[in-house]
Amino acid sequence: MMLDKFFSLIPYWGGVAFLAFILSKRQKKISKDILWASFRTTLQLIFLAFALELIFKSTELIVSLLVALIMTFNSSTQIVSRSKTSRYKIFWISFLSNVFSIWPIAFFFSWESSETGWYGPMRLLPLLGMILGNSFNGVSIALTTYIETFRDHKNQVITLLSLGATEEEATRNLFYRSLKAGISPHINSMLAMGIVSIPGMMAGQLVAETSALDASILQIKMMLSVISGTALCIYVALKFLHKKIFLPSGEICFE
Amino acid sequence: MLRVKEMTLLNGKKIDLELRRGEVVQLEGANGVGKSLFLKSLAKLVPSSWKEMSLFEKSPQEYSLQDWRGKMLYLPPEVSFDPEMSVQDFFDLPLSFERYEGFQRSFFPENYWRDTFVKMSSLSSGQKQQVALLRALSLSPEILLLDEPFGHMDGAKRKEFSDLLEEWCLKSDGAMVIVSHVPVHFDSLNPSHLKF
Repeated sequence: MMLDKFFSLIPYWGGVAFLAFILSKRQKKISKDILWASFRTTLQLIFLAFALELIFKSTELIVSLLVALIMTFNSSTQIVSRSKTSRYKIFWISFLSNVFSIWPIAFFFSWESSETGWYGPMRLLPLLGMILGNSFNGVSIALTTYIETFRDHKNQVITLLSLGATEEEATRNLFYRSLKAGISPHINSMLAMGIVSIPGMMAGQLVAETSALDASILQIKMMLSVISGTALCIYVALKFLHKKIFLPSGEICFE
Repeated sequence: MLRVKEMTLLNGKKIDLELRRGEVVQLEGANGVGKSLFLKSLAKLVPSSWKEMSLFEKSPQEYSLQDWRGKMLYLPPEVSFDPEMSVQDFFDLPLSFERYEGFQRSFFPENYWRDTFVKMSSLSSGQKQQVALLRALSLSPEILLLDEPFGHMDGAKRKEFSDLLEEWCLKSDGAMVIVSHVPVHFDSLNPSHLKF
């Protein structure tokens, strides 16, 4: 029975292998990358399925929290690697801003959409995973934009501070620019949703023969959770970063 | 008005400074020795430590940071601005800050600069330095910390603006600390020199 499920992947793998074979003649590197990414995805998702089978047997909040911590840890590691800097305690900034902003939203979503046991791993973790996965890119873009723009416009910030501006007044433009950079991809994707694209979660539900309206409502909730979670997470992360760039006594300690 | 004892800069250098009303101090030393860093440290823009520091007999802790910086105004060598800004916007920008709420200017930079509707980005480097100096004077600082204020100005403008600074210093009992690699000449002020 289980083997049948794995065998059903063969035609899909056949398609990827065919494409990789064609590309290998002129684009060896891309061909290898496609094969490697497909292999990793397959392995990771199969591993995830076995892990979830185990985790979903529990209905305890503590199990949900433990797995949520691991997921948040991984998301923060991704943000650090994408931000291309480990300065200013970016890892902890990402970790804490995820806990303070994404977690409450995922908890609410799970509570609102479940009749019983909203805190169990089976209800909570898929929603948390969807929101974390969609928001970490925005957070890393916003943090990178803030650090790079601060570096390029340090003289401007110094000028404003010298004139008597508060830290908040001197960095208002930077803050706005970084928030916008992080959130814009999500806004664009929301504007295209349903017109250009059908999101993965909704497509999955439709294929599983859920009613189109139910699938749409759930997708709307997810998109609203993602946009508010991302915006809040970026806001909190930028506030934390600001505290790392300015000393408590107000001097700049940016290198 | 300003007393600084054993200020340790980020580069480890230790400096003393005492500044009286109407006094001008010119910092001298090779490139990279820490003259600009000293000015930024005085304005509390970068971290430093000191044994004693007071402005009008009050320690920095007795001032808000914005007040300290507003009274001891640091002017960086390069002028920064939003590219869309007109000269008038540039002059008015600080008035939007909390610190200048209800502030009445006694020195109007517009009186010294004719075309205030022109874009900042269209000015030459020397002209940008001129409007930055005028803006600084309009905010009634007590001490001006000037980092290469005449670096891009031609000889005639350098004379005109050093006369203006001299007039400000004498009339408002202000003081200046200057870093300049071009010679600065004042008619009636005699700058003291602090070697780094």
